[in-house]
Amino acid sequence: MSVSYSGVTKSFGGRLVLDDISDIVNEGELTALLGPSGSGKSTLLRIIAGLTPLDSGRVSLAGRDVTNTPARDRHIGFCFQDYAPFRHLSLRENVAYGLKVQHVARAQRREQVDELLRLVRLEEFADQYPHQLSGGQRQRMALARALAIKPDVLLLDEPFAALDAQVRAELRSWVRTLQQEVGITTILVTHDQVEAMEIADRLVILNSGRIEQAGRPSFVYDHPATDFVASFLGPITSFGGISYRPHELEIVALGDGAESATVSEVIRLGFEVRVVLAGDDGTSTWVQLTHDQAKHLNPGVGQRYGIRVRSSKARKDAPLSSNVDAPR
Amino acid sequence: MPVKITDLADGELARPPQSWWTGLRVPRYETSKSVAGRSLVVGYLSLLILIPVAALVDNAFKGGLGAFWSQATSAEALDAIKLTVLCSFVAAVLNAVAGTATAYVLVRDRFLGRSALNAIIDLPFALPTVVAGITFYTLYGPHSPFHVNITGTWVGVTVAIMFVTLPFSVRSVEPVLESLTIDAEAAASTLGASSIYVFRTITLPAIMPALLTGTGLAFARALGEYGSVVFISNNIPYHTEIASSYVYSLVSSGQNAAAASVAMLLLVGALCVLITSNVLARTLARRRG
Repeated sequence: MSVSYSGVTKSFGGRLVLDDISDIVNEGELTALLGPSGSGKSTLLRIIAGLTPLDSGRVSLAGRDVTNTPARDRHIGFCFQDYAPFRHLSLRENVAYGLKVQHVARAQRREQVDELLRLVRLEEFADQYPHQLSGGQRQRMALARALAIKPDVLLLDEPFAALDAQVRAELRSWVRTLQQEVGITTILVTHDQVEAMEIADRLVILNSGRIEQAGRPSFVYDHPATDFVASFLGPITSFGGISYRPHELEIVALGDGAESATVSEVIRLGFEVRVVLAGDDGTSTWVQLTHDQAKHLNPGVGQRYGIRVRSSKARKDAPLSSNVDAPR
Repeated sequence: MPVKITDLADGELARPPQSWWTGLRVPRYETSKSVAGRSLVVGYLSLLILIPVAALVDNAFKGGLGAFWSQATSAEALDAIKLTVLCSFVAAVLNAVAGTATAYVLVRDRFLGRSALNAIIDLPFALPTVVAGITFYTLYGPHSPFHVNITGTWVGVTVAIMFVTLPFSVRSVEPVLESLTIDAEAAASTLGASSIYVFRTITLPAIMPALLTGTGLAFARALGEYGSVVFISNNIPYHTEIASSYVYSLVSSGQNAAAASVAMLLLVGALCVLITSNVLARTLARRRG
């Protein structure tokens, strides 16, 4: 089911949190609402779910206006950042809650809950209470509970923020697979651009209550509409007064039409090497090399090289944008 | 599904030990080696609680077990205790409902005069109970400005007790409601539950342990209430005489042993109520960790 919202505006105590936001999420798509904290992304998600009232604007599900429909009649699955477990209920009872509300018969309810628990790999924990589960398990419980009512839309508020790195990476790809298997329209809120790029069909980038840009992750990465989007989605560096992704530049021997510069710092991160160079005009530029490229070139502080835009990856269109500071 | 999840076994985290009394998990501290501190506490508690209770027990059993039993269960004593228990129980139950509603409004609603209301809740604790008793007698007595006379009835006794014990119910539920994440209630509503269903299935179970403890405290406290009740009850023996005023009349007529016996029975009753409500609350709280 598609989700659309238009002119959504919301302020809390005089502070404008969402400023005239509009977008359409297509059926079956996974859209990531990406932005720094305070950008209004969680508020937008709660407004779509009907948990927070909006000041003005409209929300529609599959073309049907639900702006004034209470949350319980919207048929939207919502996973909270802290998973909001029902602490006095077992895992099985948590997942069964929505079915019980719908008066699904006991036998049928049990069957459906068992199936959901299998889906989220928690069968053997069915009779445990939330406090006996790990963060990742609670997250999957929240997902199963939301999916139990077979919602038309799934909303995930920072679903992986509270998990440690390894569990997060695993759960991320698992949620992606699950979403595609169930084929449910999903909106996910995150402040992590790597997470958003990995999991989403489409990014909506929010900054201080406005949509900066929306589009496919690879497109937005290569064609950021604003300086904010460019710097938020990945590292950028300036070269000759123009912004580039650091991997779009290369270091070559002096001459050959390249701008000459002196190596001022080499940062080795294992899989990549960052070479910071000072140009003859005093500007600082950094270039990202692969491990192999760095090994071959072996740059050292004080050595002089030429910098140029990598020919194979040179942009056919305009560079990122101008006047962007060099990243740290 | 071709996805592998490997974090299945990490649920068992190091857990702090549980308190045997409340069932809540308490952090582990280094055992205190301070003998002075410990003896000070034990000495203070002895002076304040243990010695008076011991004196009471001694007084009650002076004439032997038989005398204790016949004094504590005389017809007048039984009627007084029956009335006290009944009124205390009704007051505790009504206050559990009213107290929960009050706490809910205090925690969830923002309105003008909220802090004033918050302060008024504690008034029954601060107000001398005799003042409350006289006020009730003036308002709902034979010269009531509303022409409502509830003196000499069990309704009057119950109303007086409700006034005195309301803070127990409100103040026990309030902090739990405050710490309760609204997200759980919101989650229930996205699953299709109406607000009444959400309260019954999510909110009420969460505050139940605290509510039980508060109601138990209020009930136990009410069993010995004197000042606020004594005027409105009219003290008619076998009819509207409450246990504490019966004890007072026994002491006034020099029957100290009989007074101690009835008081002993009240004490045991109050203890039983406290222990029962705490055990119930602990059992509920333990299940959710």
